[in-house]
Amino acid sequence: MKQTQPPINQPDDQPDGPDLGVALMLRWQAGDENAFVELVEAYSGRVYSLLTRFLGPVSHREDLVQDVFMRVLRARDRYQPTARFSTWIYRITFNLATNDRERSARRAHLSLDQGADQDGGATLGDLCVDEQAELPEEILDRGDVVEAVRAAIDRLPETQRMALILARYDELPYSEIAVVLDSSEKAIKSLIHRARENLRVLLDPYLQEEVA
Amino acid sequence: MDACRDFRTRLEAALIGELRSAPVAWHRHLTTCGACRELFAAEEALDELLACLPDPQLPVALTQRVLQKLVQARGAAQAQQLDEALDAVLGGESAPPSLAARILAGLQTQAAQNQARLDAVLERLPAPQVPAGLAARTLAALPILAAPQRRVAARTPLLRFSLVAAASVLAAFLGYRLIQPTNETPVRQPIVQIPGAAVPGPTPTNQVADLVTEVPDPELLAALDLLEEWDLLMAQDLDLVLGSLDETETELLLLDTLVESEEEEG
Repeated sequence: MKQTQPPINQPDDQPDGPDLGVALMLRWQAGDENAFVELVEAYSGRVYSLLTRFLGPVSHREDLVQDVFMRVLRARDRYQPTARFSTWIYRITFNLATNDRERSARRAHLSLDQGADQDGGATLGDLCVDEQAELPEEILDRGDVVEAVRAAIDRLPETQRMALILARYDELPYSEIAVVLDSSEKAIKSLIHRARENLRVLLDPYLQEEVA
Repeated sequence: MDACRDFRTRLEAALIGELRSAPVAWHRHLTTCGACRELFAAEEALDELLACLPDPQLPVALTQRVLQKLVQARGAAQAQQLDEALDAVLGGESAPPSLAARILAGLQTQAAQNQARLDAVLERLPAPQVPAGLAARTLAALPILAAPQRRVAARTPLLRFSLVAAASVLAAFLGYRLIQPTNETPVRQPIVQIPGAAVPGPTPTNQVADLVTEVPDPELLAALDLLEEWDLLMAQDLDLVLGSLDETETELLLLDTLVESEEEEG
């Protein structure tokens, strides 16, 4: 059912395996400065990919990656390995990305999430606030499937979008997604279910073709 | 309906990769329930659509650039923190030139003053009162020092000097006696005494009589007296006596002894 793509720059930190990020953080805390370089090398690609999927191809993704690792730098002394490192750094990434999106929205006087519930319970109407943005159906009319899917994901509320991305592309279990989004596993399950329902609506024309 | 609920629960598990293989009941329900079949087809199509989204292209040398920016940002952040701290101290005014040097000089002056005050306080402390006879009691309590012994090792240069001086006087006297002309013929005593054999020279009785009647050489007696005095001095711990002499007096004593021996020799 699930078609997995080869991971990008993915360190060996599968849920049941050794946590490379935690090991590097502890080495770095102990004074090994090279461990931080290894940390950036191992996780910058994943952070960049997550930001790209979540925010779209915005031009300042590298700056956001830098901001994420600046947070890691500042947290050097107080870091406690209470969770997997990927969970922790994704949480930082999500917080920075949502802040960045809010700043952009304020600047543009636009908000994709106006009217959405805190848990992401948005209606289809809420998903189409940006009237200037090209609708997925319109992109589909051009035959650009990839852009249509990207646009559909971009129209999801933030929490739905992040939950779907982490589950579908980063293969995080519900328990870790719950930590990233500061929520419960049950809420995450509900979020992903609604995200898929919304996507089915947004991509319905193409899905009809696929099913047919 | 229970079959539909069960099917959709399994479908959700399959969507997140938790359901690795579909049970037989899954396929049986799909053949009998059109709604679930449509749902399954839609989810499968959506999943294929999501899978067609390519992985983001990572910029070349992303890590190196991020690291470089982190170094710059870290330096800038530290500089900004320092500026803010200075601003907080100075109330927003800019720091005057050579402020740091003046601060350091002031700190050094303050440290010197603190040291002087500490010395003054220490000087005011009363000197400890030593109980009378403490040293004697301490020595008496130490068994190894209870019985006074000759401190041979302690008599180092002065004892050696006194012994050399005494020996030189004695040697000078003996040398003087050897070079004095004498009319007496030495008598060789036989190694083995043969009974009845005539013994040349004076008889033992005569020898004893000669010794008793012979007057001792006054110089020899004087030398012996001197040696005896030295020995007495040493017995009373010559170090204490000679130790009270200064360097000039010690040299004069040695020189006097040498001159005296040279005069005797010739």
